[in-house]
Parts: sequence; structure tokens; C-alpha cells
Amino acid sequence: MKRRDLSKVLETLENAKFFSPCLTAKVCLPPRPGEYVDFPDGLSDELKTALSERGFRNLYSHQAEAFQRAKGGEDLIVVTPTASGKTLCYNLPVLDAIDKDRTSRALYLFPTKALAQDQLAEFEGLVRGFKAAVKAYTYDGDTPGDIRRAIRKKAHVVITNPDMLHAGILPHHTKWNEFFRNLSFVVIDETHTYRGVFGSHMVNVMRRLHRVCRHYGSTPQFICCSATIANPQEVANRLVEREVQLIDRNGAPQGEKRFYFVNPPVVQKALGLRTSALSMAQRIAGEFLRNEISTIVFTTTRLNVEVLTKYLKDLFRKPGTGEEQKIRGYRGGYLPNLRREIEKGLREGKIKGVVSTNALELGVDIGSLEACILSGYPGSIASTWQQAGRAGRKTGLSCAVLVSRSTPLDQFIIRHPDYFFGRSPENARMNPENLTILLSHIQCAAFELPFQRGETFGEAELEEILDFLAEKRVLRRLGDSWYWAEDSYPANRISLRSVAAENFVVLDRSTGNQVVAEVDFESAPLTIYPGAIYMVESQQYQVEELDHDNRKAYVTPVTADYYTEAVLYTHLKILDVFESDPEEGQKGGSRFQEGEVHVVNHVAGFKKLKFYSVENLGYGEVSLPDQEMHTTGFWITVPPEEAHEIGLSVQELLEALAGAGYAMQHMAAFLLMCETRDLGKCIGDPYLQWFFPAETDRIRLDHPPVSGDGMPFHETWDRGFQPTLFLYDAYPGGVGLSSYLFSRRDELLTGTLSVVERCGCSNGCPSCVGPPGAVGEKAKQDAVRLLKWMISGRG
Amino acid sequence: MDDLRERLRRLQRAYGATRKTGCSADDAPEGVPASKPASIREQLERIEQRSSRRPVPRDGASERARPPRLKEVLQGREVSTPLGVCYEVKTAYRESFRHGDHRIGAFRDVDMEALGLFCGGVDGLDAQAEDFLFMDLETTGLSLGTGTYGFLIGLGYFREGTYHIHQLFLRDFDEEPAFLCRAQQIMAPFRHLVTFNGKTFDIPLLEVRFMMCSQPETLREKASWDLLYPARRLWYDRLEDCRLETIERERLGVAREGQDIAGDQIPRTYFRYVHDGDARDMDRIVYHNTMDVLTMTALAVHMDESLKEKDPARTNLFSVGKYYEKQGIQGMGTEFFEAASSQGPSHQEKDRALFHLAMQHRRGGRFEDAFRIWKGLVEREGYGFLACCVEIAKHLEHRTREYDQAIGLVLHALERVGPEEDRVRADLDKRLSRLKRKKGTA
Repeated sequence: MKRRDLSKVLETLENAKFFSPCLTAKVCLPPRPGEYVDFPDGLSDELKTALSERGFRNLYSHQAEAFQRAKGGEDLIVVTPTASGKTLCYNLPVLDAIDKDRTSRALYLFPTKALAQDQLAEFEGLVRGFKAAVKAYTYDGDTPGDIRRAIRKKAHVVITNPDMLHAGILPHHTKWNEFFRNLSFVVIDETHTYRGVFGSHMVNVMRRLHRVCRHYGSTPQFICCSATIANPQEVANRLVEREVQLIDRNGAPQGEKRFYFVNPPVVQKALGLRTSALSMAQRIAGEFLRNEISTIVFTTTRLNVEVLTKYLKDLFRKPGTGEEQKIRGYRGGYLPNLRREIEKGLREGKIKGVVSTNALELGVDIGSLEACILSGYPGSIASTWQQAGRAGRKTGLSCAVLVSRSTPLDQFIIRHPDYFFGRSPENARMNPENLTILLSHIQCAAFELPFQRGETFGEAELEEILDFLAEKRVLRRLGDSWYWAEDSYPANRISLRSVAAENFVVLDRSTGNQVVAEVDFESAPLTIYPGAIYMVESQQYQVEELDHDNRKAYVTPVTADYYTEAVLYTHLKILDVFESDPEEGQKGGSRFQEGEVHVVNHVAGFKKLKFYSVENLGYGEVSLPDQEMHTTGFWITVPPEEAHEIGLSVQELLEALAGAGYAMQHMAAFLLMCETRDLGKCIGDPYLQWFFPAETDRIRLDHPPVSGDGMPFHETWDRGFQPTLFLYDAYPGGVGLSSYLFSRRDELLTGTLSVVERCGCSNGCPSCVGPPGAVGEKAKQDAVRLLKWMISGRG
Repeated sequence: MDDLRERLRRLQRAYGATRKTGCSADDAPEGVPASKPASIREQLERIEQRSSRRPVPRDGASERARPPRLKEVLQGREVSTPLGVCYEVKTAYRESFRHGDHRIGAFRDVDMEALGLFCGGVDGLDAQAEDFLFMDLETTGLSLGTGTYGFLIGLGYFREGTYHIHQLFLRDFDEEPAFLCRAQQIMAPFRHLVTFNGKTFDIPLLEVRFMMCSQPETLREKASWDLLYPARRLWYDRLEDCRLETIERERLGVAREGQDIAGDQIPRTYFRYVHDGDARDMDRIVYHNTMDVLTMTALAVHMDESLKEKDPARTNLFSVGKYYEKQGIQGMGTEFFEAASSQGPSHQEKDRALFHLAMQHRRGGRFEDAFRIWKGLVEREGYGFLACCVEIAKHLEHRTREYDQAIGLVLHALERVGPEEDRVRADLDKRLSRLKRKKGTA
């Protein structure tokens, strides 16, 4: 078949029967010419040669601007789209500084180890031809002990991650004294990932970095890079705690881009069932790939990556041609070598199609592709643009296609394209002054260097906190100094991220236990339970044994016509009530409480789903240790006997609570300056141990789900079911979010009410009680009623 | 359609927010009416209460009439340095002083060259007893990192027929510059530094401290004798463990008095002194440190004796031999393998020594001696049976060209190959077919 170019393919597609009726939006983003400038004067000859050798004849204007302004001593935040040559914005000034002064050092921070590896390769490529060697090394948990010393002494550029800086470098800064003494640049790439609780930790780690640098007499310049979010400069200012200058005039040329919104057709009217996003995505991808158009498909889960990779490979499988090798899967968990191979294949054009999770959303270099398909809304405007940006060429046409699932949020977005195109990407929020987080990092900082009176640490009332710690015998105050005075290593007590447990490895028994993949701790119970079909690039394995203690799963290759999906329940137990309003035992309307909770994620079993038809072939039993977490929670209980008082039926009350809960989670995240994902949410009765499964689209009493231990819902009602809405810190041990919510519960209620009441939608939307479908039709008005009742009951 | 952020912003204006926190100006948390927040103090208390990690404040110190002061407990004195005053305790011992079974002065008789060789190859050839500094540190914790302090440095050395112990005690953290300055003054002249696990703990920890105080030090310029590793070589399977206290109890005849304090109590006890000025038990820590320094000195003597005595019941001579072999000191290796093979405590250990001895013979060109040992081991089906068969087969194949015998031996060996030893089997098979081929052409 003759290969057609993208514009022809799109023309056909737009008229295709399976596509055109489903189209809800088509937006054309016009091409933009590039702005080029000659190599700036200040650039050393060696760098100019290296650039020429790599095929550069000039720079994009933003690269030259970054170089000049960095040379002028400014701290910078560079915000330009994917594949606009962002890395040169920091590599040029850093290399220039090293060229001028060979003792000069730079620290590069990336949110993940994989990105650090990527940068190392890129950096080494650039400096390969240099007369005087410039050495860059990654330094992380995988770095062997015997070369760490050499890296500390010799590396011009150390590439690491915030976690390693926090627990492995700063508390040992004396070993790094030469490095810190000569540190002239700190690069923070993917700045937009530092938001919410993770961002709050990051700010405090940066404060500690500043202190250590001051101790060694250095004042490094900061260069940050970010994907497009609403407030990149603010985030950078927050991270660096200095005025950081914004560079966002993108000089890279951009070809024309078309963005399509596609809603798969309804196939079963009565139940409102639609063709799955996955099969729609497969069909569209097929059209592109048949014409050799390089395509990336983003899916929302790792499982979907594997399923779709298989579907697409099936489409192109012609025995003996190896044609299907042009289509690959990509996700976290693949071994580093395999990932490198796929990235290289994409850059070189040997791989035409890749199916990925958001693992390829960040700056991994895969070149630029022609078409991008998003199978499912990624959850935020920022992520959507970031993923869509993976397709985009300097000249010529590219396209992005968003295919919605039948979930309420997807349906809302796909039916309201203006909602998406009409607003800027989300703000990144963080609250580095969160006292629990701050207190942890002040201890780490005191371990690193004694505090002196007059020092500052963010906006904190530092002296009061230090004296408090001295009183608790953690510090020792002597005159105007506070010394660490405890037998412990505080950085080990604090994890910057919610889960830090080790990965599982997947071992293939048929090849003498070779490692075929890694699975992070959190997803292990969902993917590698005994009996599961585990897929790596559409090679199927069946899990025979899970050695939970040693973090190993043993698998053998199989060919099955089904895949497996775990059934997950979240339960929550109250361990201790710290605060209660009104006091327990007292009568009142709704009761607000705060305390210690035990959250359990329990895999009850798994479903076997047939490929293509998704027919349920049966269930399997799973017996795995639950994933448990102690944390702090905030909850609101509405006594069921009040339903009548409020003017709602039981069903309406539950739906109102679900709707109010949706709005409240968002309001809470605003109040706390965190991400919604930093807060867990569930609805149920902790005393009866009955919870609504998290995945259920809406709370339906007519088709009530059955809880983990099999009690039908109506029985719980007879036993005095107490509908309770929980919001909890999604971090082991808690980070003080819930306690803050309790103390500001009145603001939370009035804020939530105001948001819902003033929302212009009629039956709910993602900005208030959730998109219609997620909650009942009356949920919005009932949520208002419920919230008003809660507030009035509080006088 | 209204946007949440937009509405929050309006809300903010409506409430006329002034508070400045938050990341984002248009991110409205400021806008929401502020209820009176708890004071920082109250919030800190709450966070602290809920973290369950710190149960031990003062342990009844206040119940005592008056906790003792440092000068009532230690007989030390203040010393001035260019960086301020610090506190030191000095003790002197005649060289005839017995620490357990050993005279402290016996260190003069140690074969420094041999012991140096055994301590990782330190050059001890011209070293005199006066060149050695014995060092042991008491610290506020076990983690290396900038927040762990060394608060007691014990330094032992010989001068003019006397063994001196100098102990510097950190009375408070602000005294550290003087404390380290004094330590450096004392340590500077010595060329040899003896520690127990100093290479991975005491020395790096002190380096951190000197660096934290921006002071020069010369620790790495000294020849470092860390007695932990040689002790492990000598006794790892002869003692329950190789902690200093185990060795001194089992081998040096040292019994610590009730005055001693357990090592894991030391940080807590010191912090009680730092926080409350309660000097109780500081004398016990100093005693503990004194004992460690004396024991290190006696230990060096005992190691020297053990190497000379070569008693297989008390010392793992095989492991010593292997160490010398690895260091490339063949003669010493042979000596210890021979000693181990003639009088090892078990057949297993004797055979292992024999096997290594044979390998040394082979490398040294003494094939007959090697052959004799291999044959014995094969007959006994002892340690390294398969490897010995292979060695003999090689000998028969390449030197004496007795192919029939070699084939017989390989077949014999093949019978004993375990089911898991695929590589060994493959090697033997290869050898067998080659032997058969050679036999055919011969």
C-alpha cells in the first residue's frame, strides 16, 4: 500500500465513519517560525566546535537568551515546550563556567533516576570532543560505594535526585566540601513536578542546600526548567527563594498542529455503554501506523499499555517480517536497558509506534513524533498539553487526538472542549511552611550545621522552633547557637515521597530466573499476585509464585487469550480520636473528628478478562498481605437519622455526601496548598467496616456494591450505618494535613459551599461536586443543602 | 462555566485577605476566612506528642538531691589552646603494669615488621614503640554524618618508660574547636596510629569533626593499623564474635569491673550530662575508654604472640595463610598452611590447608610435593576432591603423559559430580574426550 502523509491521513480520518461522528472538537494551532541567533560571542570555541559537530549552526533565541542571562548572573526559570532544546539552556552556561574555571562544579537535580541517566548520556555526547575532559556522573542509590569517593572529588557535574541530596549528600557535606566550595550552578529540571507535599519537602531541602553552600562560601546560581503550568515562575521563586527570572519566549519553530477530541460511540444505550477508549485508540493508531506515521499513544495505566501494545502488534503481525517489532510498549518497570533501546529506536525512527504511560511525559529524549493519541484524559490540563507535546515537529504537520473513556471526568472534558482549551494549565501548589514538614527539615538542617541566632529558614519563627527542640532535648542551645544533640540520623526518618519501599523484581523461571521487569511496591499487589498474567511488551507471563518477603515474583511465559485485573478495596479504621467536635457522646448535627487512622488496601481477587471482548472469564482468589498505612485523617459523620431533618432520602444523603466530598477534597487541597493526590478520600462506615469501593463511578443504592467482607449494603443500614466522609494524609505517619483541616473546618465548609453554590453549571461539573454521572442528578443541589445544614448546625 | 480558581480568587477579594503564605497569588487559600490558628507552640506540642519516637526525657535525675558535677566525678584539668579551653584527663602506667595477662611494656618486644605485614601491609620495619599512638573514640551515635560528635578521645602512647593515656573530654559542644585543637597537638608527632575499627568509624568521624570546625588534621598521613581485620582473620571462627570486649575477656584475661558501662548506653548517658549537667556515670565512660585503649595495646602484643605460637586450636592458621597468599607473601603463606595442615583442629580444616599448600607447591614448581598432597586428598575423598582429580589428571596428561591413568581418574571424578555442578561436568567431559583423542594418537 502506498504510504500517505499525515495531512492526507487526517483528511481521510475526518471523513471516516468510525471517526467523524465522534468528533467533538477540532482545534488548529497554527505554525510558528523559529527564531534563530548566531552562537553568542561569549561562547567558548570549544563549545562552538562541539555544537557544530552535533549539527548545530546556531541557537534558538531562548537558548541564547538563557546563556547570556545566566552569564550575567541571573537565576533563571526556562519554560518552553517539549523538544525545544531545553537542556542546552543549562548545559551551555555550565560548560562555559567549567571552561573558564576548571574547579567549577554543578549539581543537576532530576525527579527520577531514569531522567538522570538520560541527561548523563546527553551531557557526555556534548563534551565528547573536549580537549580537557569534563566529567559528569550520576550519584544515587545505585552508585557503587567504591566509586562514590572518586565522584565526590572528580565530577564537574553531579547528576542526582532530591531524595539522595536529602538523605545521602547533605548530611555528609564535609565529604563533599570541595564540591560545595566550588559549586557554581544548581540545575533543577522538571520543576513542575515539585508540587504538593513533595514540593514542600523540596523547598526545605533547597533551604538546607543554601545553608551548606553558605557554610562553604559559595552562592550557586540556579537554572530551573519547567513544563507549562500556570505559575512556573512562582514555583521557581518558591524553590530557590530568590527572584528567578522567567524565560518563556520559545525560539524553536513549531509546525502546524491539529488537536482532535473524540468521544467513542454509544453501543448500549440503556446502560450508556460506549466503545472503549482503548479500541478507539487502537483503530486510530492503526490508521497512522499503516501509513508509517510515527505515533505515540498514552494510556492511563500500565496494564493498558500492555493490552494496547498487544492489540497493535496483532494488527501488524506478518510472520517473518518483523513488522510488529516497529511497535513497542514503554512504562516504568521495564529494565533500564530495554527502555534505552526503545528510546533509541524512537529517536532513530526504527520504531514507529510506542504505547506508554505518563513515563514518557517527562523529558526523556525520544525525538519528535508526528501523531499523539491520548487514550483517556490524563487528569489535568497541564499533563494533557505535556503529552500532546510529544507529537510536534519543527516544520510540517502534527496532530494530537484525545479519546475519552466513559468515566464522568473524561465525558465532561470531551463534551466541553471550551473548558479545556479556554483555560490555562493548573497552578502548582505547595506549602513549605507546613509545620510538620518544616520541623522535620529543621532537624535535618541542625544535624548538618548548628543553627546560629539570626539565621532564617523560610518564613518560620525559627528561634521559637529551635528553642522548642532544645527543650525537647533534640537540640542543645549554647548562647546563640543550637547544636544537634540526639543519637539519630534525622534524614532517615523522613521520606520526601509517600512510598519508599523497595521494588519487586519479576524473574522468569524458564530462563533460569532472569529478571524481566521491576514492579514498584505500591503496584505489586495489583499486578503480580499468583495467577496474574503479567505482560512485558505483550510477552505474557503467568505469575507462579510471589515471594513477598524477598520482593520477588516468579513467572513463566504463557500464551493466554485473557489478561487479569485486580479488584481493590480500601478500608479504613480509626485508631485514635485526637479531637472531636462536638465531643463524643454529645448530641449534635454532623460530627467532625480528627485522629489516627489505619488505611488498608486489600486485593480481594482478580478478574480474567478476554482480550478484545473484555468478557469476564472468571474470578481468581488472591491471598496477599494487605498494604497498610498509619496516617492521620479528618472525617465528618452525618447521623442517618438526620437525613429527614435535612430533607433528603438516604440515597440522596449519600449522593450529597459524595458530591460534597468531591468539592471538599479540592477545597481542602486549596486550603492546604497541596495536590489533591496528597489527600486520600473515602466514604463509608469505619465501625461497620463498610466502604464504597473507590472505583465505583457513583454511589448507587439500587445496585449497591458489596464490601470486601461480603456484607450487602442494606444490612449495614439495619445496623445503624453512619455515613462518614474521610480525608486523610496520603503519607505514612501523616504530614499534618488532616489536623489543619480539623482546625479550619469552618473555613472548609463555607469555602466548599461557596464553590458549589457559585458554580455556573446545572448538574455538577469537575469544578464543583464532580461531573454528572459521578454523582446523581440532584447531587449538586443536595450537596448545597447538606453543606448548609452542616454549617447552620454549627451556629 | 465558572472556574474554581477564579471563584476562589473572588472569594479572596471579598474577604480582603492579607495573610501571605501560599505559593500562588491567585491560589486562593488566603481568601478564606481565617479562624484563629493555634499558636506555633501549641502546634509544635501537638506534632511532638503524636510522633511516638521520643519517650525518654529526664530519667529521674530531678529526684536526686543534686546531680554530681563533672569535677566531682573526673580528675581532670583545663588546658588552654589557641582556640580556647578544653578538658583533659591524664593517666600514666608503668610499663610493668599488667592489663590482664599482658604486661603493657611487652609491646616493645613486638615484631613490628611482622605485625605490620599482618595488619594490611603497614611498614613497621623501623617503628619504635614511641612512634605508636593508640586511639579510641566515644561518640554521640553510630551514624557517620555531620551531626554525630566524638566527645571523648582516648590516646595512649609510650614516653620515657611510661605508658600514658591522655583523654580529652568535650564538656559542651562549643568547646569542640579547642577539643580538636588539643587532640591535633597531641596526635601530630606520631607516625603510627592504632585503632580498632578505626578505618571505617573513628578516623572518618574525626575527619568530619575537623572539617566541621575548619581545622587542619593529619590523620591520613599516619600509617594506620586497624586491629579489627587482623583479629577477624585470627579468630573469626574461634570466638563467638570479634568485638574488642569479647577478645579481651576470652584471650587477654581482662575482666572489666562493675565500673564499666555498656557501649550502647554511652550516647544517652552523655546527653543526660549535656542537657542536665548531670555528670553521673561520666567516670564510667572514661573508664570504658581507658580499658579500650589499654586493651588495644595488649591486643597488639597478643596478636604478635599468636602469629609466633601458631596454635591451631586457638587461631585459624588457615585463614592467616590465605591472607598471606592473597598479599603475595608466598613463604609466609606456606608456613601457615603447613602448620594448619599438620595439626589442624579438624580434618576439614587440615585438608583445606593441604589443598592450598599443594597449589602453592604447584606455583612454586614443586610438582612432586603437590602431587603427593593431591593423591592423599583424592584417596581420602577429602576437601577439594574434584579439583584434586582435575589437578592430578592435568599432571598425568601434560607432564607424565600417562593417559590411561588420567582417563581412569576423570571417570572416577565424573561419578562424584553433583547434579547442580553442570560446569564441572562439562569441563570433565571435555578433558575426557581430549584424553581419549590423545591416547588414540599416542
